[in-house]
Amino acid sequence: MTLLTLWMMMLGMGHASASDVMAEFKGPAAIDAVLRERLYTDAAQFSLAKFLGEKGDYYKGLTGLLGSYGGGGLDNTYQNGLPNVVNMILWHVALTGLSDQIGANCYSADALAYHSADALTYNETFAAALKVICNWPAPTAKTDDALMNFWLVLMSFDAPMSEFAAWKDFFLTSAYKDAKAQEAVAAMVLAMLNNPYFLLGE
Amino acid sequence: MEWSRRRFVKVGLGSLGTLCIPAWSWADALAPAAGNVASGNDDQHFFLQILVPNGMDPTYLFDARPLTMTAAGKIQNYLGADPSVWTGVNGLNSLATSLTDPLKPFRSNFSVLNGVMMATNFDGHEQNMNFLFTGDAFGGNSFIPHLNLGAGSTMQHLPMDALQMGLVPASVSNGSGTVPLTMESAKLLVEKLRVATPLMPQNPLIAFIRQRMAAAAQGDGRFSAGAQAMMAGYDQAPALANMLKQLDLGDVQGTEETKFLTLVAELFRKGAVRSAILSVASKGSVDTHDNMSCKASPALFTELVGKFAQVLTYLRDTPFDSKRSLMDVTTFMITSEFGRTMRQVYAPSIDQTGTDHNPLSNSVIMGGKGIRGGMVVGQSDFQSATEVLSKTHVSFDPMSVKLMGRPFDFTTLKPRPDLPETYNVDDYLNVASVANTVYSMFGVPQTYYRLLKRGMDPAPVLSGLLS
Repeated sequence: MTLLTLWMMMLGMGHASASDVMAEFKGPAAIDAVLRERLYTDAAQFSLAKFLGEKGDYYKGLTGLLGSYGGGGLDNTYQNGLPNVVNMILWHVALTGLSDQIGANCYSADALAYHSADALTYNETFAAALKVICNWPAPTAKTDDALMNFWLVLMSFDAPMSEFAAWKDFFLTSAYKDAKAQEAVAAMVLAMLNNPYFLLGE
Repeated sequence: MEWSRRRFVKVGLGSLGTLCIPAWSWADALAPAAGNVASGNDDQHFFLQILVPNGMDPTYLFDARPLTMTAAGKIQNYLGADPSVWTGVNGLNSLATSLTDPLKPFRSNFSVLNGVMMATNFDGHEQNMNFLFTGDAFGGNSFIPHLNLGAGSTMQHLPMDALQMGLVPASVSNGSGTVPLTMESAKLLVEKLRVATPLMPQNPLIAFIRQRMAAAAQGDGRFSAGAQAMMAGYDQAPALANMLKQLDLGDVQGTEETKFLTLVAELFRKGAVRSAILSVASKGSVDTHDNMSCKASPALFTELVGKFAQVLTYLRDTPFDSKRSLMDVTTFMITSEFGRTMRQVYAPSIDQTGTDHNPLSNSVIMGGKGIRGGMVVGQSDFQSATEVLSKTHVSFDPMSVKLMGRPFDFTTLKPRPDLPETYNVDDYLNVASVANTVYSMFGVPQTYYRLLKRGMDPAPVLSGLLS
């Protein structure tokens, strides 16, 4: 960097790069870490990449297009984190896969196994919240407590409460209010995970 | 969830409230799907940027110098052969090395622009790469997404601005529509999309998710900008997903470049993407500061020119549709962020020198749709060891190690004979004119045109270069 460059940057005359003006995706590595903590006990095995048909190499393939570090050495930078049409499709595919899997636990609330299809065990907190919400469309699943509890175990405080209010209102007033549990729960999870507050970094 | 007709009506009626989303309509969301199918109209104009990062030496291509200048100690020449005259159909000549021979079959398909000025105040890679793509040494909006503006442009907006292969080390603010998709990733994506739940905007859940993106997109901050980009991607996703599902990528053999071009061609045909950026990798770096790497220039340029020829062959021989080749619908541009000095200032001798950065003279090869081929446009100075340089040149290059673009006549596209004493940016062929020429071909509004300097008019379009 020349002195003139430095001087102009100090004067604020330089343009910002895209990531300076636009929040990027947290990326699959960070999202995996969050979901492992919030959903599972045997955390190390979980990877969203599985839903893209990949093994979980964060820096390459389709998973790499969701935001990853690449370049190596001094050039190692966060890449592909800007939202675009392709990574939105990829998030949709991956998150739909996970949401459907969680919803599938509700096919029979009595027989709720608290296991995801790939035999990972849900942690106690998530399983308890899921068990209540799997009673959908029964009134016990539609209480403020049940919905808030389910929201918080997945979303935590990543999003403002206005997002919870909008989410709750949608599922209590749309056709999902009468849908089967597995469909409604899958939709609830997908709506949460696709929220910008969940996917975007600071 | 399966969407039977009955269920759709039921869910749809129950969700009418979610349809009242400000600034969005179903028609808007569905418009891309209806409009992007290739239909043989004039909108089928695409752009391919072939980039050689790290500063490629034009004197090994179409802006060569005679061996007499090497004998006089002015310029290294590790090829050890005199270049030959490359005659433009417009009557202007340049010197081309034998390394350009693989490009001769395409000489009517492209024109050579020499003496193109880059960021004259900066000699760093990053600043000049930024200048090439954005017109600002510190970065900003790249010209390539501007070719896909849609609103205000004569061209229709396509779901993706560009596909990218390889690294483009520029600070670009509008790069969210530029996607680094490889053939392998595209195949897997197509496979997944064929079995995934469709991303249908009619689905009330999808509409709700989109509504929350819209809510988060309110405001001017980084987070809101990210949410806006998510929303824009989400809106384009159904149309693109439908296109991708129909792709038949087959089993493509060949180099990574060939695989990438095959994907690009297929997505051009589908109307899914407007541009492609191919950042060419080579075994050695073109950033030949040390004499050893500089001595490898002949081998390096043999490899690079081979890749250029491979790309042009692909464009020429690959059908776009039943009547046109890819070359017929694609404008291409080959360049680097700057040229190189003739030698290093303190090198022990002319046969033991490397080269440094030179933003005062770059070369650009432009061709394909909309470009008049076979021309030589502009010229760099220092054509002989004894040439008298302008005071402007000497002020930029007191050690006389650089080529510099000659003053330029924008009407004839030829160099002017005068030797300016002071530097006026509008006397010279600047990369801003190259970008504006591309803009003019793609119907980009004039408000996007690059200025030569703050407060000045836009850089002139090279009208004589347009076919």
